[in-house]
Amino acid sequence: MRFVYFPGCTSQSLARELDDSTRIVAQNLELDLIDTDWTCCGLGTYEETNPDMALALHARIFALAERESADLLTVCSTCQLVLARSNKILKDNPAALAKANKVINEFDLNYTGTIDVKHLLWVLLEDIGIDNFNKRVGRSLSGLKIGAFYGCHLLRPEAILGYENWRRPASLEKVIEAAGAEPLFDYRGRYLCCGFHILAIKERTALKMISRRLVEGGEVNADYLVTPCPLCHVALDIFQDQAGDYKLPILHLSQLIGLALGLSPERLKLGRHMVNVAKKW
Amino acid sequence: MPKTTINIRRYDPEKKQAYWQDFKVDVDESATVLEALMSIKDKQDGSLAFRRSCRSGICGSCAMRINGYEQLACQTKVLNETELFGFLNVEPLGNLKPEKDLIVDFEPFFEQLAKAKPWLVPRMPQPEKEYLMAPEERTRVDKAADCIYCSCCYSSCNVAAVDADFPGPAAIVKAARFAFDVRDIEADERAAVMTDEGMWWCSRCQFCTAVCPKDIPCQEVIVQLKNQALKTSDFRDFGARRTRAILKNIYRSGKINEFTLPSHIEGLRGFRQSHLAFKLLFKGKLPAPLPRRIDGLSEIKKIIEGSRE
Repeated sequence: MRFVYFPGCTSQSLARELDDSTRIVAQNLELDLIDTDWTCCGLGTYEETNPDMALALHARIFALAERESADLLTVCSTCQLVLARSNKILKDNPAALAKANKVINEFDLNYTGTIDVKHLLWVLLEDIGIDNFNKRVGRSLSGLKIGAFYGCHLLRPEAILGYENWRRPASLEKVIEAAGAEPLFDYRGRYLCCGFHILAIKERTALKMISRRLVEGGEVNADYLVTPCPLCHVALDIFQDQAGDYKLPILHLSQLIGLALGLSPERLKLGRHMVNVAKKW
Repeated sequence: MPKTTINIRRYDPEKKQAYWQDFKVDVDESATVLEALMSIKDKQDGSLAFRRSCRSGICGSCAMRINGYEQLACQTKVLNETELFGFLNVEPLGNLKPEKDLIVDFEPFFEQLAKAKPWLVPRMPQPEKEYLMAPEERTRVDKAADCIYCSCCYSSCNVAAVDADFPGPAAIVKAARFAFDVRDIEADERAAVMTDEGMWWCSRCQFCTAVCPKDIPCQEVIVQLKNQALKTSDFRDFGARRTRAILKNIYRSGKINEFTLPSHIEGLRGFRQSHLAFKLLFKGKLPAPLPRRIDGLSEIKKIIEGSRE
């Protein structure tokens, strides 16, 4: 299976372990990751600056993927929503597509609307399939209670993301179960906001939100939280000690997959987290 | 049909205590949560208190938190909820204090709304007859004008849940409704006022868009008002600075530069998080001060420059 890999800026630095673990896991799952000359998705700020500019910048990314005849694979909830939204607009609105193409044609690029933007979580469950994954599981995380932290941008609005019912998501819990661990459906924070996007804007408020999500994790006695979004990871892990004393380790989805496949914690770079991921398996 | 159990989060104002009470009701396939509540009030417990009026999705009175999410009770089918969740929990709206059972104090919601100066400031002098508005001009405010003040958005807002100063989606959408109305002359002022009131503290949790019973794309409208604000912004607000700083990063290298971003946003104050730099360095993930530029940087620069015209 071939995918154009869209790592997103955070996985290149603040959450480098995400890129490292994604590549190793992809290799193990026989996912061919194609690298392109991608640029930042904009975190939703391009649209604030200039909606047409946003579509042109994103059209360039999609055109580069289309050249490879492969869908985009994201590993960040925000990249997923931001790109999926632009892709939907370009696919549904011929005038918008023409306008964006007029800009990128100058660079010998053209987008015809044939690629999709998919998150690793969905690729695992749909393209690879949970049965295939179960066959490859080499290590059971039984005895562990793991709370899913989806990150808002992987669930809402359903009209753009279209993967699962936004009010009753269960995809991450399926992966947790497949890994042998106990999913925590009562974890109240699983579909709530970590506050990352206002960390640099109103830090006090963001830290309160981070604190709540961690308190909620404590309420259900979570051993770990797992998130498919490195921005949530930055908030919940790097800023955890500023939000309070929680000692709740946060795993990246790719690391959870890797652990389940039997890959070593060292190769999955679990040591790079701020909150120590104590080995409880 | 067997009876359905509805768990209601009630509030006793005398004891100042919230408590769960469950009721069993007969419902048919089409019964709404509102009908179930009215049946309970009618036949089982007349003291059950909740707001309702039109029962047809337009007055906004019966907004409440059903199975964890804000909805209009009159537009929510009991069986849809029990099929999806396996139970039916009804609680008062979030972010507002309960007064009795499912009735909450709406004052804070309206105080936030007032920040938006929710009335038209018309172009003067007034025309002889009516102000003319072309259909495409009206389309611009169609969705934002649909607000029924139900507070589903404000009550589900993850920022309002921790920050009572945040204006919330309804107020920002209200300001946008007038800012984009061609008859109104205060577009720039409205955007600036909402910036001062905290519009940029929105964490983009997308709840507002997801829960609005009138399908107002709240997030899209908020982004449009931010776009308006940036046209005349003095960039004192951190939110505006962040958007500008991110674009600067992209212009310079094609990617975010976390090393320089905090100081671009907060100036010297950005350095108060510099202890993080040492922690990150120790963990081998300190962002590079001079990030590698993407190959097609000239294309990015052209796209950004071209959009400025």
